[in-house]
Amino acid sequence: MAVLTHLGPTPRDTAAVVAGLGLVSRWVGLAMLAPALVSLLLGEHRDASALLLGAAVGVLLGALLQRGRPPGRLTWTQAFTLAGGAWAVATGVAAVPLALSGHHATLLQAIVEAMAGLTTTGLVVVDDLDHLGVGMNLWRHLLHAIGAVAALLVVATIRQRGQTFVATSNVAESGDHHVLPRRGRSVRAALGLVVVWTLLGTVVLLPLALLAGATPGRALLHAATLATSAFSTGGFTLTSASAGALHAATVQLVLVVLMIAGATSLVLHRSLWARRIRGVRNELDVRVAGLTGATLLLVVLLGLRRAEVFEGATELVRQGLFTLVAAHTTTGMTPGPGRLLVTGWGEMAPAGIVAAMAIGGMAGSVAGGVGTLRVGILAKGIARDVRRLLLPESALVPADYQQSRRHVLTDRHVRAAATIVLLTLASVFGAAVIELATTSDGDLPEALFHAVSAVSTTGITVGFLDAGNDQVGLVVTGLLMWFGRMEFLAVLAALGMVARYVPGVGGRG
Amino acid sequence: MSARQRPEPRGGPLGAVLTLLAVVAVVVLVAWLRATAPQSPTDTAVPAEALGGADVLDCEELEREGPVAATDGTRRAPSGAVLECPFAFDGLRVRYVGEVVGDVLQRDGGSWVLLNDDDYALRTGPLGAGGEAAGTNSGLSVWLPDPLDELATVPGRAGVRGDVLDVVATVQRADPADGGGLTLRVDDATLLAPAVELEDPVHWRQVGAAVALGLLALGLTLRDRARRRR
Repeated sequence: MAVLTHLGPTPRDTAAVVAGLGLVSRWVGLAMLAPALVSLLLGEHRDASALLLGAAVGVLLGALLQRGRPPGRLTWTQAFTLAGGAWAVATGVAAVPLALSGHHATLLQAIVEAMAGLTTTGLVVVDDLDHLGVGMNLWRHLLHAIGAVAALLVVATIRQRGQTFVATSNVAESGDHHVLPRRGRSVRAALGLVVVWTLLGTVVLLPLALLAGATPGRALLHAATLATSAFSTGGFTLTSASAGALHAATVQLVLVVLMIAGATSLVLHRSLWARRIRGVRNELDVRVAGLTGATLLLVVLLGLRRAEVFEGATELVRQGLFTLVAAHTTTGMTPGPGRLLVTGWGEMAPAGIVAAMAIGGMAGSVAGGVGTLRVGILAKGIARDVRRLLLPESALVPADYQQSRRHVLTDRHVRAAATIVLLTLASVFGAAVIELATTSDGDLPEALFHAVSAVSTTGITVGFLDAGNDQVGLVVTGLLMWFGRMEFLAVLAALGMVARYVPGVGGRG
Repeated sequence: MSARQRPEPRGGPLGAVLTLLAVVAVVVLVAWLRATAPQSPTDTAVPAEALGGADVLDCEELEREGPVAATDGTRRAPSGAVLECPFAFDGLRVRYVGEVVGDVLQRDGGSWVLLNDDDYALRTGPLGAGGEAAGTNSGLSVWLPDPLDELATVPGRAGVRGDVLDVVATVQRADPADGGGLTLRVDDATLLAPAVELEDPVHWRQVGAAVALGLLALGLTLRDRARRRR
């Protein structure tokens, strides 16, 4: 054990991580200035002062943490721990104005709302969303954008090292575990992608919202928030009517495109941008996403038909396709009230939706869930093992997969993918049991739906969580979103670093 | 790994204690500001008798007695009940009371509106300028044909409780005109309560705290910048 203690994070690691957390706190604080200005201009003085206070807290906390030299190039240990801790610190800072908005019954509720924003889950726990101020609502959506940039930043950084996204976003293949590249290029790549797609979405959605009958000001708000939410695979919307607020098929069609773009890997975005389309269909990610998407769409449509939910084919496809895409991309928008999924869609269709949420989007994208790449690797691993059984013991059974380039499938890849799947399953069942044990109403299917929705960072709400009264449920939901976004290991690394300084736990006390 | 690439550890236990104290101070400040937030004196509650008292439809009654329980548009159907058993309500003519929120989307022949019948709409009033937390919003999409849509003029938003309408409508569980969405098709409507703008007293303590901490943050940032230039 003594050896393990010495191999743990050093004081230098801790200093680098703390300085990085300071930077995160400062930037989240500064980001609040934009919605604060909107609130000031619209005369929403209470929200304006809440956002300015939150900005000040972020900057001050940042200054306190960032007393050392800011982190330049990080080691894997530092980057891992920083990633896990950054979401927690950003959530704490982001929750300050939400808690002061008057729309959260408890501080915990505001924290979970901020976590839902930053993890791009979009689970709605805010009270009375329909009377929330414009500035505060923009802040909620800005959290999605910040979360999306941060998620892509992790991806872009790892991409520069030539890694494969299997376990907790990556498996080091080059054996290099030392220094990560400087962040400037990665930040530009992540920020550029989110800004370009969001602006594009806003420009396309604006005339559609006007045609739908919204006033110019509201149309702009709808367009900007829907585009931000859809591409970041978040799910927050301006009103409680979610994606059905504008009653327009054209708007929902554009949202489908934006959601798919958000759940598409950074690598694929780059290939498409460079018009390198030929090899795209061979990518394991793309193949699995296509296969699971088509299969689950069939399951959902058959389920809806079986339950006789819709009479016409148009309604069947529109409702089924939109909801499935929203679930598979882990965006979580719904074309109508989410409660209907469990009360009016029969049993088979919601099962398809749950499966889609659990699988999620492509590895190396903004989307959450287990990830299509891991599903593909597990499937290939199982197929390889079956072939091994059928051949003589001495036979070599090679297997590979395409992900940017050709990779030889090793046991390490399969184990890494299986680890995430197992951790996801364990957390879903654990959370469902805890929530059922601590609430008087709700049943197991709804508890499982809610847990999968949270851990996959989808955020479809079926009314299981009573955010104002169920404090245990809120804590569990917040943890699920955090663990789900960071794919477990980064959070455990961050907690491990904190534990190291607890006397009697980490060996320093 | 060169020393240049890694920040030197500074602060140590004192830094950790200072950070913890700062976090606790922020939590205490936020809790204090929440507790001392001034409440809006504006009364927004819709009279209870206008809501039909206890004469509301629920799923159990519908399952027990069938569609006849709706008695053709005279009994109120809360949105919660409609969403809980949409098949039972499908095609029934019911009474529905709710606040116009969000947008009034004018189309040919009428308008789409979202009518909320939650506590914020009918009892406690909107949050933000006071009000009592009562969970998330609950409402239904409603199609108001011409000229009934002229009753919905001011939708609810921050600081405004929108027009409250009392409508008689048919529940469409999967309305083809809305791509399969659950809607209410209105054939009669009255304005139960016009929109109310809430008086929103300034939370001076919060303004003071924001200004004080903002100046402190600005000062620290400028100091850090000056140090870095040196």
